Amino acid sequence: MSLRLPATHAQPPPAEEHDSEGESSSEDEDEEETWDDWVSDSMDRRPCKSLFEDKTFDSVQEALTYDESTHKFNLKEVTSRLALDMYQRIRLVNWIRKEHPTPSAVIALNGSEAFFNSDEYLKPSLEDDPLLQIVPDDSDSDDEETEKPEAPKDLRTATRRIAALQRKLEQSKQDLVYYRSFVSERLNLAGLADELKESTAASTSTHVAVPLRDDDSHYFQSYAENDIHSVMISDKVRTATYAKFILSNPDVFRDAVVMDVGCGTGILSLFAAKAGAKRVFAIDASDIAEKATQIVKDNELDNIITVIRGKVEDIKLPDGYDHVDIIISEWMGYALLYESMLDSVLHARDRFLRPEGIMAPSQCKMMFALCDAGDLFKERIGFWSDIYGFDLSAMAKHVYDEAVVDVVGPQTVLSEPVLVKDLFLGNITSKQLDFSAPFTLVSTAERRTKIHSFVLYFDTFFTNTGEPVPADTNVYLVRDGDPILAEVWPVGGRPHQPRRMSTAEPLKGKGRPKVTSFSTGPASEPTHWKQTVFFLRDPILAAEGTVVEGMFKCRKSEDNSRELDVEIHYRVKDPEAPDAASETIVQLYKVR
Amino acid sequence: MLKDTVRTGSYRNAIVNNPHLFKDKLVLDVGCGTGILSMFAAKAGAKHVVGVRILNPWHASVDMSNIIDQATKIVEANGFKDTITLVKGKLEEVTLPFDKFDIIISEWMGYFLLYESMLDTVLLARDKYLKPDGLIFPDVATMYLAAIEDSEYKDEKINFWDNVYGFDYSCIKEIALREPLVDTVELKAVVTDPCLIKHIDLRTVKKEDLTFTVPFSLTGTRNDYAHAFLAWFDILFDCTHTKVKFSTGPHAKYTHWKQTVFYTPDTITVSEGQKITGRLSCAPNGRNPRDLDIAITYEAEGEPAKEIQYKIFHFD
Repeated sequence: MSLRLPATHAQPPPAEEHDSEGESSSEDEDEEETWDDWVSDSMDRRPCKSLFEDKTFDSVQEALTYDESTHKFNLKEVTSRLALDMYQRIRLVNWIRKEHPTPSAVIALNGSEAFFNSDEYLKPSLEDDPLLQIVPDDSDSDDEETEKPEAPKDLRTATRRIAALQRKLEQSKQDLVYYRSFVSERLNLAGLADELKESTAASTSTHVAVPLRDDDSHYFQSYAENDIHSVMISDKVRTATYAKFILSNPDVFRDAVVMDVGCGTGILSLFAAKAGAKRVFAIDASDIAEKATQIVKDNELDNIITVIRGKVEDIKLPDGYDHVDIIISEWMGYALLYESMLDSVLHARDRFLRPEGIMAPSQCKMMFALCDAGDLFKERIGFWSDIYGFDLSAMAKHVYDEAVVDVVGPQTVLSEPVLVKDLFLGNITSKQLDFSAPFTLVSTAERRTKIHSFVLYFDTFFTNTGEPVPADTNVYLVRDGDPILAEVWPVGGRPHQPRRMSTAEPLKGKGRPKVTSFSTGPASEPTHWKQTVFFLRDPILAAEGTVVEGMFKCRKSEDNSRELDVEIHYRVKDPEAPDAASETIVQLYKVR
Repeated sequence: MLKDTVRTGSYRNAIVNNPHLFKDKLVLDVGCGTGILSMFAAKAGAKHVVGVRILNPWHASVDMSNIIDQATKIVEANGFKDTITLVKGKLEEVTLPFDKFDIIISEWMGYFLLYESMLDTVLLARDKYLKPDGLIFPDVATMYLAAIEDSEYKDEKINFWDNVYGFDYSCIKEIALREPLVDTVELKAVVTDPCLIKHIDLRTVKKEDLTFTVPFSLTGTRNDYAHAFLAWFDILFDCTHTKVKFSTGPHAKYTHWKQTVFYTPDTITVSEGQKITGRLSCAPNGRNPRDLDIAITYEAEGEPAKEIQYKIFHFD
């Protein structure tokens, strides 16, 4: 989905957010806009036109009240009776404004009209229409989710509502058929399938078994497969950086009690044990925990490492242990937060980490930049327009609705990256993982070009003290062929040469922690996280110095807590006329 | 998958270049996906094409359920609204606008030909909807086996687990070995002649025939060592005028099916002109029919026979 909002809607971010360093990305609770109110409250106090007459009122409310009293048309009632979603409601308003139907014609709609699905009516018929920008009374749907719509007043209304409900029932029945076959094939539960079949066959039955949604079991299942562990362990940038941090900080790990959250095959626990940990608790909820147990034993470290199978929310530590000194975890997902294992890590921190204990990694920074991924664009979008002479471009549509995880080269980045989220693991809370951050990107394109995407990636930092890294810390970029492990580990049979620490080693006592880090950005050797690319329906026409400013919003999806909803608002400032108003474009994405 | 030019191009040649077979015929596209094969058939002159979006023999993921809507848009955008009808649902349950069809077209093949394939559904469609002298596109599939030299990659993929950053991970190695690897192999890695292990004629094959045990005999083409067996398949449109065919073997152009590699625990010594003999058996897993159990027993000259059980299992 993308929407264009008129220039007047775009609010210039507060002055300090113009800071091109991106340091001040709305971390403060006060400043942070919540997800729901990003269309400003003042919106419904803007002049609004009646739906049926050429009369303008001082506010949305007044216009709606007028339409109701004069034309017996209640937009809210129609929206709820036809069970319209946000986009259908937008289409309805635009349709009325464009086609000028009579109020009774609108009231007679049954919800299956073609325009409810037409993209044409997503375009505002009226420039800067405040009716499209207000959130349709969210408070109602929150509190009254179970409440029935008010009883129909006459037979016609009742008939229409029955028709609407019948359509919904048909849809639900169809969904159930899919779901049934999905369940039976996927889980191979013949018995359950039969049970579901019976319950649909006996449609008069009031009882329909609806399986509870379980976002977790699939996730834990797929991690039990060994291939993914091979992929992750073979990600040298990832594993070697963890190894480097753990093995080069024996003073931190010696005699420490360590917890490894989501231990997988246990590699981080093994590193910790090698680095001198007194005791390591390796936690994993998937089947791989059994393999981890075996591996620990094979390596004769079972006197130090204890593998505990279970979710970190449910487990108990052995007697005598209440707290740990260090929590290590490799929890990062695509776009950093996809799959959200971070919640479990934070839970473990709050429950088990002693005060002043160390989180490893201690900090992640989400970075955002302009990106000209031309090849990727051709592959994912251009490709479909001509397949053996046929036009299949309908297949490309979802590319604009879902983030694309892929590697883009360093040369594709067309701005300095800016920080959109700084997660300090020492104190961040789950709630703060839904966030919005303003950004200002300055194009470095050498010639005039169309920019088709933004790129998002993250940098990960470890400190020997668990403190935040100093603001001027640069992330360490692993480049192709770098002997990243040479400092700490004998690679390829080469004996480990103890040597003087490199000059990059900060001097003790200067108040700077020792930092180990890696980047998943385009400038680094690719990792299994790759980068996350957001394709734009409306490309940005940019030259050197073109400023793109906007807002990056990210939150857990309501449908599946391991998925993310991302919303990007942006507008382009013409370098020739920086003060001229320009429209803001909003595009929504799923990360999954 | 449309990016697989060998696959899509072969279907196009088989269909579009044979209008004499398609003219005024009723065509059923089993598992129509984006509708591309249906459009080929329409272009070849079919009277009417019915595309069935098969819900999930194996892939009922949520985002696939709207592919039919996209396919409908595509069909409309290309001007075939009146010639192509798209239907979604299970073949056993959907109602089709015609009782019998002249031609069934389908792209049903999976990795190792049979893994997560829709062949069962195609056979069902054949028995229920195909006219007695009807045609099936494609109508013949053949599977082949050879042995390959692959020490470097085996080290990377399998022996990797012997030493992971200095730790012993060999218990993972055993699982890794039992999971065939879908990958592309260069022709020069092949150290024996290929051996045909299974011939499937879609006009006559029965579902039971897809559980099988077959003997093989591989003759060495040079003195070398083998680290794995390699399987692939060829597809033939036997009813077409020029007998269109394509191969997914190591000698042929890349396809998304690649080849399937079965690593052996031990290295096999291969001598020119000498034989490695054995048996390959293939069956859907009893507990989870989506998975495929494959066993290979082999005997190189002068060596005792060995048997290894493999499993191609679901992984997303």
